[in-house]
Amino acid sequence: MNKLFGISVLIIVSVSRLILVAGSVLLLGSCSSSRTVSANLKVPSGQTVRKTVLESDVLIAKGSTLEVFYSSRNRYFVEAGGALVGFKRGVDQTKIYAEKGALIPNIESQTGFTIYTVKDASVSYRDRYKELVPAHVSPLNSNSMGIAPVIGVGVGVDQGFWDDDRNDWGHNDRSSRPTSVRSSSYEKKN
Amino acid sequence: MKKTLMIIAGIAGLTAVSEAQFAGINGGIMLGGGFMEDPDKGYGFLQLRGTVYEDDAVSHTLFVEILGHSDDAELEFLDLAGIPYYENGEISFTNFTLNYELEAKLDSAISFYAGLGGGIERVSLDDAFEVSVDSDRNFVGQAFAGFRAKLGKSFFAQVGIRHLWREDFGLLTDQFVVEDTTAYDLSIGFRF
Repeated sequence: MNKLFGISVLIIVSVSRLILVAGSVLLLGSCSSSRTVSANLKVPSGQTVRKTVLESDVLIAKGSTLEVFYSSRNRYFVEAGGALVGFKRGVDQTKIYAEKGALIPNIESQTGFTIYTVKDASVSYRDRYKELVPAHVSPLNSNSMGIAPVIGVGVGVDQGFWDDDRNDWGHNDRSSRPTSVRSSSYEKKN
Repeated sequence: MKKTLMIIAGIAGLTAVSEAQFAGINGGIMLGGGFMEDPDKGYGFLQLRGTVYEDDAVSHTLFVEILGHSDDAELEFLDLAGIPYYENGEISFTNFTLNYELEAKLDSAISFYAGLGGGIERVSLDDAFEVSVDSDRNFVGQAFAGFRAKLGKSFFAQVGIRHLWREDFGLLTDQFVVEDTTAYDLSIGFRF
């Protein structure tokens, strides 16, 4: 009798433990699913993305294409073999840091660009907070309409001009939010 | 984030298995995939299993299942002039369910199983940069049955059918109709 009672208690305790752990898994799963929205974006290699981009830093990898509808206060870092195209809706305060061999817009037909040549776009992207000026700030003696070939990073602006507080740059203010969505497999309610 | 979630689930699962062993429960992990009828989509799943009772004829098992599928989406934006334009996106569906299963052993190698479970379905909308735009959570229930075959001492494979009860979901300002569906799956597992 005591043995039977002991086995029953063991089973109850075991099931309770399993349910507790299973519940923890469910809880972890539901809680860890929220994602931080950031305006620092990377276009994965081999993909084509169409987008309006506002107040963002975007790295365009080799073999990928970013087609921009409208661009304001952005910095694009384009690797050789990457493509930055579009801008049908306009451009404002936009900087492009491109490697040789990157496909970038023809500035003769666009305004609002500043284009720099860099050795390594991914390094420039990585070090952008400490070594590059924000998109809406014009470097000293620069011509915002023309090409300013710069090798490497650093454009001669006092480092104290800005700090590393991302909010000063508006990087977390991603205002290009979609208004609606259409699913390929699920019908909308009337 | 998905990888992080899977790692967390894996660690928790291994913890559950070791706990189960400690407490006299046989643990197991199962991986599989399948195809649902409505929508016409494939899915994958992971089960973390603990058998609470087993004899020569039957066994009772509890398991946590994470099941996921995705769907292409088109996001509509308005530019500064109020003119709409569209981008590609993705809707991800992830089910977290707790399930009970009864297994009837037909002979030493083949068994029939059936059970039911319930939990949460998380619906997440990502834009082209895989940044989460919106999400929703709903109830999901399922009943399932199938046949299982032992492959050696610790491995087993199974073929099964399940019926999923799902709720409609909402993303942004849009509401979507979800039909209950039947699904068919194949899976392999390892028993500790």
